[in-house]
Amino acid sequence: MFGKIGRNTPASTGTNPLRADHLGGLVVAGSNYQDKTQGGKHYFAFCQSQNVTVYSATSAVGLQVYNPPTSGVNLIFYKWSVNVWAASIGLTGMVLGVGTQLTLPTTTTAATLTGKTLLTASTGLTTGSAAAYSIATILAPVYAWPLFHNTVTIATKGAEIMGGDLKGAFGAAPGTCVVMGALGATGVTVDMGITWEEVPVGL
Amino acid sequence: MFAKIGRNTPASTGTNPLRADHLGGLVVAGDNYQDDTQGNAMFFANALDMEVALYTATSAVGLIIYNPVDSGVNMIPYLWGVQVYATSASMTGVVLAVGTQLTIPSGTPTPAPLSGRTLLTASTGLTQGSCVAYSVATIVAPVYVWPLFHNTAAINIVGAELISGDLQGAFGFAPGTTCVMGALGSAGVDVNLGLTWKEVPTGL
Repeated sequence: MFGKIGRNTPASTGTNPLRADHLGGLVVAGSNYQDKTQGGKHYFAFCQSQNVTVYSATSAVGLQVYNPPTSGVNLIFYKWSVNVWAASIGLTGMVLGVGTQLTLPTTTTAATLTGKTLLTASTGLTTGSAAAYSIATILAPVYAWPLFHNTVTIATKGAEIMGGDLKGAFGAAPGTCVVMGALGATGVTVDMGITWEEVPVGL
Repeated sequence: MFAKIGRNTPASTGTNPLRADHLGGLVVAGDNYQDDTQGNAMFFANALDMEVALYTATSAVGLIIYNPVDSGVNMIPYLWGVQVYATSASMTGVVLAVGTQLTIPSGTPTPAPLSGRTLLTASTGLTQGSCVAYSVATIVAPVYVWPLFHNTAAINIVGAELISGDLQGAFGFAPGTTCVMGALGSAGVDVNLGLTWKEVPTGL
């Protein structure tokens, strides 16, 4: 049994040789994310110091990832991470929300940084088919998945991780908008990020 | 050795070529969940602001997944996530429970607020699988299967916390059962619950 070192061209169709990484290890879909990053198919968005609104808000503030109806890809979500570092008493947590979005969001502010996770610079990263915003007017999302619970007072001692890996268990089809939003009430200066893979529909 | 990019049809029978993802990586069963999501084989349900009942309750409140007798699939849970954000003094935790359920849950069950395929196509009307998810249902009394987490007497008032995990397919619910996420000690207050699962043909 052999594995080819290097990419198959075309990448997304047909019957192709199995691939190996630069050390000869078999490339397995869904192990870690190195091959997706290296292959330019793994994307992220990060929004800094957001007064993140409740997940159902139509005037959304936080992080919104929009998959246009004509994109031809599903957005498959992986890593998420948040820093709640200022008092956000009524936030009570953050959730993943999903909304139907058949038209381009309006009144938008681009995400602080977004594009391929293969970072090539500090600005102007290559983006994919999805668009990421920190502020957008969208159709009201609904609650999809709990991310974490945030307590009444910010911790004053120690350190804490507010992050996880959805492991591809959720995807956003074309014509949807996925948001990271507040559970209870608006948060204060929250930092948040999420990564996703753009996978051709039907594969 | 070669692998095919794309799905095998029919997917669940016969001898088929190995598959690769869109980057040419070998698709391995039981790795992460991208291929399951993309292939419409991963489902989820959530339940919001539930006064989640004790796991043994026949008038169940929380998250109840019913696998009908004639579904032809086993329901295999993976990710779970919970938010306890209001005082739930005596809940003391949430557990996974199983009940024999040979008939459809009686009374007027309340559907889960959002359930269906995890490839989210809209905010409503997601495509369902063979299992049915409720937030309230009258069922045969479940029994305790597996602890999920411990919840303290008072809600935490400092910092943040993750209340989530991955069962990684370690349990499955056969046709004719209910899978319940229920309270350990006594009813909780305003608890959000979520669970993902795969529906795998029985016998495979």
